Amino acid sequence: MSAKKTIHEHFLNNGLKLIIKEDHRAPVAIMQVWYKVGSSYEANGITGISHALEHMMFRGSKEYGDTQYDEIITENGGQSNAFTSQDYTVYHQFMANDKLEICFKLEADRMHQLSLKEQDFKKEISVVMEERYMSIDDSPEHRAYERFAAMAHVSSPYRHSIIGWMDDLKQMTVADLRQWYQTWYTPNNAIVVVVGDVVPKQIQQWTKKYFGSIKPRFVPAVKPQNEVLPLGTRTVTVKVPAKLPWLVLGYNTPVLKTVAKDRKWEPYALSIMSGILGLNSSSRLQKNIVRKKQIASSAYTTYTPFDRLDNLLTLGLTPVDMRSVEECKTALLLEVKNLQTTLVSSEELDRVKIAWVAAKIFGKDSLFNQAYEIGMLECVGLSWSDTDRNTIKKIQSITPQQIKEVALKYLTPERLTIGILEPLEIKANVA
Amino acid sequence: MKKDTVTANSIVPIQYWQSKKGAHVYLVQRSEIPTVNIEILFRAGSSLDGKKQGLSHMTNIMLNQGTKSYDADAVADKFADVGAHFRVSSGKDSGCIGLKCLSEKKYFNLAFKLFLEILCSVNFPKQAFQRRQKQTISALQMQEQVPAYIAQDAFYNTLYKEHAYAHNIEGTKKSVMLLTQADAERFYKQYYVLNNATIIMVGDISRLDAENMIDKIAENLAQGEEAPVIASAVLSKKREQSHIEFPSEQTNVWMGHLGMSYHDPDYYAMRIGNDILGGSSITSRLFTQIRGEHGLVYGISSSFQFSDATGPFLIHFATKNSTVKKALSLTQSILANYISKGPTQKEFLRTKQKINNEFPLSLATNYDIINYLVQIGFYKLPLDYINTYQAKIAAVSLDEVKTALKKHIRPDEMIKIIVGPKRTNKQH
Repeated sequence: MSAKKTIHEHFLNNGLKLIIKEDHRAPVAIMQVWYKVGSSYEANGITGISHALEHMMFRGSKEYGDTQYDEIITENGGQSNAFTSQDYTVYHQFMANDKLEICFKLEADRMHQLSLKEQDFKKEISVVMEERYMSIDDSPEHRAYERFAAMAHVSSPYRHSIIGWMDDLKQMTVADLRQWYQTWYTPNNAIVVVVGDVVPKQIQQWTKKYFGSIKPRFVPAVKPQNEVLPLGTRTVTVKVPAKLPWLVLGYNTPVLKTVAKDRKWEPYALSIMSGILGLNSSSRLQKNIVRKKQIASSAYTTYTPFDRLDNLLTLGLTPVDMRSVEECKTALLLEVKNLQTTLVSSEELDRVKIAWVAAKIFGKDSLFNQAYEIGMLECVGLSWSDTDRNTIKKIQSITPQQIKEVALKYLTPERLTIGILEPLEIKANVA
Repeated sequence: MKKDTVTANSIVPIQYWQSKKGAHVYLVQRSEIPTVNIEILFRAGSSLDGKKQGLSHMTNIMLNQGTKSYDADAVADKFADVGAHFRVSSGKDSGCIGLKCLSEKKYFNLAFKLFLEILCSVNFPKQAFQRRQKQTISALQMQEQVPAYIAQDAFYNTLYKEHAYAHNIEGTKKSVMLLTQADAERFYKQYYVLNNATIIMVGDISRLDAENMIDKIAENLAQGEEAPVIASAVLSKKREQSHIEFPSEQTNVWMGHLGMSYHDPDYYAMRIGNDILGGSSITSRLFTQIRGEHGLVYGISSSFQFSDATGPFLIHFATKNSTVKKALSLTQSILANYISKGPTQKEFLRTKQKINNEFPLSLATNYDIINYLVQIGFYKLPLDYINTYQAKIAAVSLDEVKTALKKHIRPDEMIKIIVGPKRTNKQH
């Protein structure tokens, strides 16, 4: 789009990758350090360890002990946080551009000499458990989704939640975390992304100065862990105290990374199909199920081509009452059938395509978004520059026939998992 | 009658003027990204519901449900055709409609035309109204299964009693079912009018185009009258406490009392004072002690909510049921100690520096600027609010913070809402 080069890529000798994107709208910058490790790297028994380690990254390292990290960032007027996903763990700082150097010092320090003290771990794992109670155990839908995912994925490590099973959290030790840290936190398994009002040369210098001396370590080869072929519809009913039922249908689907070389268009077709069903208020689920049939109060779909492993296309509804759960299921399956038998209209297709184009432009408002897109693609093993250049083109090229084809191929009963939240009466004394 | 003010040489140049027919307009031109945002805020929030709780919310969520020429499906399709986002939202003070669109004419013109059509001929179809009622009931049921929502609802109810901020903006299941489309139409006619509007535009648009658009908006809205700003609640000094039984893993705690107004002379002192206690900072006393040192919570914060009438000061957290007593007593002792002694000199200086250093971060995006314009335009903050913010923070003294803390945070007057099991017989 622009002739002037505003994006710069570099490698240090130790394997650390640096990607800089200039954005001079405001005198600020965001720095993100991405590690290629997340919950999908975890074996049973240590689920949640990537996320627990993320918490411990704020508990001090050799140069900057205890709570110094937070204090220094705060004094400099920075905002800092981190998040863990299935495929990556990300640390980010948002700062005035003239204060950014300190972030390089801090991130380099904790990349290779994290303290990981026993007494800190005891407190922090307790914080993680509180987070789990809040985000999953006391939320009926999230609890139901956790069980649904554990059934929809058979051999894939996407089957456990990012935060991990409670029992695994209880059994986790600081020694486990030390090993995890030693295994994955090394410059050759990390990507630094900087977006903002910066001078690229300066960023390169700081990266070299602070990260350059960190020794790389051997990183284990990651197995493909392709999902086994699904052999039939699975249903899981979750009964918990709640007021409203909830329904989710999930189909095992490939992603850009896992699909065959000559079928790279399929994930884009799946993505558009998901949009036709549930992208916005104009999509089919809203029109047909929420507004016309009025058997659900809300609806959504999820699918992304950009995961590391085979994942799911999901359709979710909040039925208006327990009686309507069956009707909702029938209605969703009818929508699936329509996609398989009738070509989508060009108007519908164009709406999803323009939404992609618009989202790309709207997304430029946020430095975080821009950095996220880069880091995310790199971490799932896609070149962000190729993908970034091609996505809109690929999306634009998808035809109604291709959508029908992926609907027939992937939205099959064999690939289907049905999750139902069946509310139990909320009784005060059942805890 | 065009009174034009431009805050020249400022961090964010805000253009303010009154359109023909007298609408208040706030424009910030930002041409780097080819998008335009328009937000129109009306003083039409739940504090104007009167006995019909949930009416303002129902009215607001009907605004994308059909016009004279188009039904809900057609409205949704037409915005989707050009990749535009049309959004409605409401709160205790305001009802808002917003459009986010690509600025390229072939997209923008179509979206804006429909936006105008909605303003002048939204028609509250009966079937859509009934469906929106059911959806709202469903949303209320959803809240009833989440302990944090239950606590929030009870907190406002207990704090505000007869005041119009007491009730949930979505109303109650009973009150929502009693509403009619005629109620919503009446509410719309009274409050979604030009004299009651604040118009905000940010993005890639010329001044001339902006003026033309504002004029069209003005033409399409009835003149009407400005709604009165609601009076503040009378301070109750009764220290009420209630425990709502709920079968959750964690107990949610909400505590607080009436806070302060945007226009309070202590606004900047308390921005510093609260930051140290439990404001946004991860280095706050509540966060570092209750989460950091004791590992009892995932999050804990203290905040002042600003609104037309005095909003609350509140502290909330959730902790597993077996540690709620401990977390509560720690919170109370941190609070008592902090209010009586105030911040240390070091904390004070560090926090002032922090607030001023992080200020540019809050102005980085178009979205951020809209947020500021909402505060400045709707809540009538001075036009140089952004420009003078850092100097005003810098001018605050430690003694001012200490005095303000004693005045604005009074542990003895706090109400307390606890949601969770009453007896915890087993460990988790």
